[in-house]
Amino acid sequence: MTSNQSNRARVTRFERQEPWQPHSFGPVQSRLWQALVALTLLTGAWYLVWRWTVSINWDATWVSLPLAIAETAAFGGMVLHGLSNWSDWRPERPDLPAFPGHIGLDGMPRALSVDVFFATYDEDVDMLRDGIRDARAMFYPYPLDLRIHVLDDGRRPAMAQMAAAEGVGYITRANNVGYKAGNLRNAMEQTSGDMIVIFDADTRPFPDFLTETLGYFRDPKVAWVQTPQWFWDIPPGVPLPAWLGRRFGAAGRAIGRAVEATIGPVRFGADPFGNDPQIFYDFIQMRRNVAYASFCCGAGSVHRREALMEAAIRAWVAELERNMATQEAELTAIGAGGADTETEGALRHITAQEVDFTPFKLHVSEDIYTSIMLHSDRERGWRSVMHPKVVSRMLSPQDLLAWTIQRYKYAGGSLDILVHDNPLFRSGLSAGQKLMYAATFVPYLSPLWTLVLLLAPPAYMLTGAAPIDAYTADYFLHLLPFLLLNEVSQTIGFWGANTQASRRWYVAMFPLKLKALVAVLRGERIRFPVTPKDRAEGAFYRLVLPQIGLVALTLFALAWGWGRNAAGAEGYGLGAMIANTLWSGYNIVSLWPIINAAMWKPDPEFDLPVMTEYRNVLS
Amino acid sequence: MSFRNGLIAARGQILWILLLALSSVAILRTDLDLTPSRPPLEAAP
Repeated sequence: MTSNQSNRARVTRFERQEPWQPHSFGPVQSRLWQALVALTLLTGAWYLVWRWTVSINWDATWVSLPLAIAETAAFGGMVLHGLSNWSDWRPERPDLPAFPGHIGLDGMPRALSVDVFFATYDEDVDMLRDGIRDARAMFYPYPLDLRIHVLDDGRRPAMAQMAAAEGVGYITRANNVGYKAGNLRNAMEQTSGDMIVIFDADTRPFPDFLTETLGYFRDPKVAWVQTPQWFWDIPPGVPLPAWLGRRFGAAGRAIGRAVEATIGPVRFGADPFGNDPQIFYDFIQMRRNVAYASFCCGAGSVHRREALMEAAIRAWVAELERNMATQEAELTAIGAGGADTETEGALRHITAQEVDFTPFKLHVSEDIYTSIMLHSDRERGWRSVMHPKVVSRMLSPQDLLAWTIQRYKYAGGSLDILVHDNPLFRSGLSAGQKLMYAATFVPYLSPLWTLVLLLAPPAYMLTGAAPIDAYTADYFLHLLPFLLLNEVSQTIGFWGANTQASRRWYVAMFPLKLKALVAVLRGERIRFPVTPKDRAEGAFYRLVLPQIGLVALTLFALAWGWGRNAAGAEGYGLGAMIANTLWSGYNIVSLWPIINAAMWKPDPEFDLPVMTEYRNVLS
Repeated sequence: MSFRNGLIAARGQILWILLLALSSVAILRTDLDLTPSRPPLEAAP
């Protein structure tokens, strides 16, 4: 098969998937969003003041106090969310740089040099080949010294052969120290480009990747630009006409088409793992731009080499000084302090060899950790930019186990940073950057209050002990405006994105985050134990047992509570029953997506082609 | 994103808001007996 035929074979239905268009708010929508956030937070504060001053049931503090604390903590998270998403400001993108002098480097008349790294460990060789070919097709209007490298931690001869055949560099090493961060560090040591582009093995850049991103580097303070990660293999679900057609034949299809003509496309079972990252990149990360605080997410980012190296040197010197101080203190403690210059020099030499020099922090969350390191370099004041437009495509986790492992690493890595090197106490970060990092890290503590909010309704239904002193009209009067305003503000502020799904997954993930929190507090390594049976198709129930247990408990408690209400039992008033029933319903709806994901099987007609077509072409 | 596409993406959310709003009005205007779920403190023995 010729190269052209091969390329044509890969232009499949799957490859014609379109990414989202970046949102763009005018001044009216921005002000409306900000006004709604302010109103939501004010009504939330009003509700909480009422809760603490009027409505605590002091006769059942075992349930009422944890609930009030949980509500307050959840509100704190909401404040961080609102403030960190407050502004839609985005930096100007100047003209593309033609020479290194345009990005603040030497003024030599030479082409800009860009190293493109494809980090891989065990991925398919053909997958890498596609990415490399796409990278070679990246366009730039000025002379550019583009060097593509495969960073193979798998040390595979087939990968080396492919790299040679494609005419790109092949970099490997004798060990896998530091995993991906170590792999990148090793490649940095062997390359010298002005800029570094990081791609994962499954990244397929678009031709305009460089023209969309390099302009930002005209600002000499910009250290890196992150672009959105778009997954082009997310199961699209079954269209309503087909879904109805399977059940009711031609009449069902006709009704489905009529409904879709009226209210737009309807899909059953789309994105079963909540992988769509639009909200994260197009809203949350974009809105960190106002504080130049978007963080690096690895693949799809462009870095100024100078920034990474300088920050690494500073971190290395700081670590060296810390270690020296510790050793000197230990020597003093045993009466050997005040060493002469020669001894101190020798000690410094030995210590220097023990301290890692690493542009990317060797950490399970190396991307965000490196971002914090660069942002907190007060002397240089490095900035980061989140670019709005999708300029590459990638593959998503395809089952609940892969999803769980990925999310567990995110949670564990973030919590590890929060506990051991909290950015809020780090000097060098601006107040805005601290707020943004708080908004990123605090939600990982959310299981502490989510669990209480999930358990409160069944606790009431089963015991009759109300956490709220009186479920009167006054209660609803304080709560409902807050809830309504929150929903309206989220709809306006994240216009075009599915915030409901995102919030449901946020709640449903609580056991995973709790497990990560416990592991970090116990000083355990962040790794997710996998048993062979987990890999069997459809056997993912073990991963969602806590959620299944909670849904069962809530349903049982509902039946019990209404039974007691019907019997006229004291403590089971109608107001309390209504409030707790609605609340229980919301909890069940929130927990459902992850249980559904454990049972989910791709639809052979609509999901499988999109999920497997590219992989089948490769195999 | 066009307004129509935004509306399509937000339709579930809008439906949920309407449901919440209607429930709120129903709860606040209804004659349901929303008596406290337990006797007031001063009435307790």
